[in-house]
Amino acid sequence: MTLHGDREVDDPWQAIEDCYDAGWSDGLPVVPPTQPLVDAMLARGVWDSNEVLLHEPARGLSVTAHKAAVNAVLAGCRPEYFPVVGAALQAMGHPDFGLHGLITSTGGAAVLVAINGPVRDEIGVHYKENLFGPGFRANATIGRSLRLVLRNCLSVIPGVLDKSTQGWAGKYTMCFGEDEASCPWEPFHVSRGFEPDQSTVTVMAAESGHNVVNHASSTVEGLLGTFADTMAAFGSFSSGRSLVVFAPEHARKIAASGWTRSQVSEYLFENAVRSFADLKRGGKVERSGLVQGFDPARWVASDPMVQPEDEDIVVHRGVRPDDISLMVGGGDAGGHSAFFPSWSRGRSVPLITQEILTP
Amino acid sequence: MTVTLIDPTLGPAKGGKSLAPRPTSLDGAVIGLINNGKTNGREILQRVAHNLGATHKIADVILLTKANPSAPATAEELDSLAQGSSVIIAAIGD
Repeated sequence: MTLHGDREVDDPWQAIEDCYDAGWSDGLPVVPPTQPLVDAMLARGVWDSNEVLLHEPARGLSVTAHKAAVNAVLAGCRPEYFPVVGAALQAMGHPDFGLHGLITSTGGAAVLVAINGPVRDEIGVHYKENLFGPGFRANATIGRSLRLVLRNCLSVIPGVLDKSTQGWAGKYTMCFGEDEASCPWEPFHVSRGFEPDQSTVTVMAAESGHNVVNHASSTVEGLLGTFADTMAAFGSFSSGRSLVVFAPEHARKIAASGWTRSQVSEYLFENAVRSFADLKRGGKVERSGLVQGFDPARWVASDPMVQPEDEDIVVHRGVRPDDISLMVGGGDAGGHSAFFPSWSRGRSVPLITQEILTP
Repeated sequence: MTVTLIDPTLGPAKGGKSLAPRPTSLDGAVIGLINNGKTNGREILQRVAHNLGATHKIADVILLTKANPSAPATAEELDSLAQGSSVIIAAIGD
């Protein structure tokens, strides 16, 4: 249950409990949202209080900068994080992101947030050791504020509108920076058309990440083969997008090979594959009377029974190489990278990148 | 000392939607069906239409299948369905 309206409490220490009672928490203690804190948050953004940052068309709900600021306070954000929070909400409202689907689906996706540009060091977004884990206020609270907006403004509450079968811990927060200095190529946001001195957020509807361990490969093909194998595992195999975050150790090996960003994506696309027959045997193809043969975007087929010719049909993860996005992040030591599959058993939604503006 | 906590929530959408007038009879009605595109969604809806046809004089049945289960139907699709149908039934198959 969620209670609406401002609330008054006599004891400041009871304020946190009162926020729990009102249904405003994700389960962790929140910072009581007082007017001075909300005002300070709003003052660091570029938006008027009533400006809409995110519109959810399925139910006609609009999240204003004011409501975003209240939830950023709840989450524990410092005011200088607010431009990032607002930009992430704007990205989530992009029509191609299909917000209503991913926040209500049984798939249980998190909104993964990757940050590029100068803002990372200006506000302390972490991109080295344990970048996906705990320990860093900006990472912890920026991602958390998005989840609290979803909960408090869009009723994305487990069992109500959030029908995630299991969900995952990234739904508390999943926010990190790219280690641009360790990237063999231009930073991720520059590869998407932004300037190096611009700051951006990129949002992705992400399943939980898969650790990709490889300590010993002496060739780039051997190294990337481990990634392709991980990406071809049935559990997450789909026609959707992929995000690979290379550890700096893996990035150094790729850099030494001289391979370009597009070469790496193409290699992963060509090798993260299963036969159509495998797909059918693995229960990954659903029957549809509405298609002729096989629909490679939705993985439905008129005939889900394995036929001899199906053994020779190659099915890729994604439908083209640029469905596979590449970033770099993590500690300098260790051959541990990550693969994040996109939400949805089908085509899913693209990654959306939005510039972060400051006053 | 009293602390005022600022409301972080949104209520339901304002100026929103209301239910269409309920039909008094389905005799002569054109039934529009919105299939979300997931497995068995079409089968569920067609069975509903079939059962309605057993007890009412249904004139016709129109089926719209969304190309992407996770995306809304387009405005053109919805307009077309609304203009051609007396009653519309939506369902989620999964």
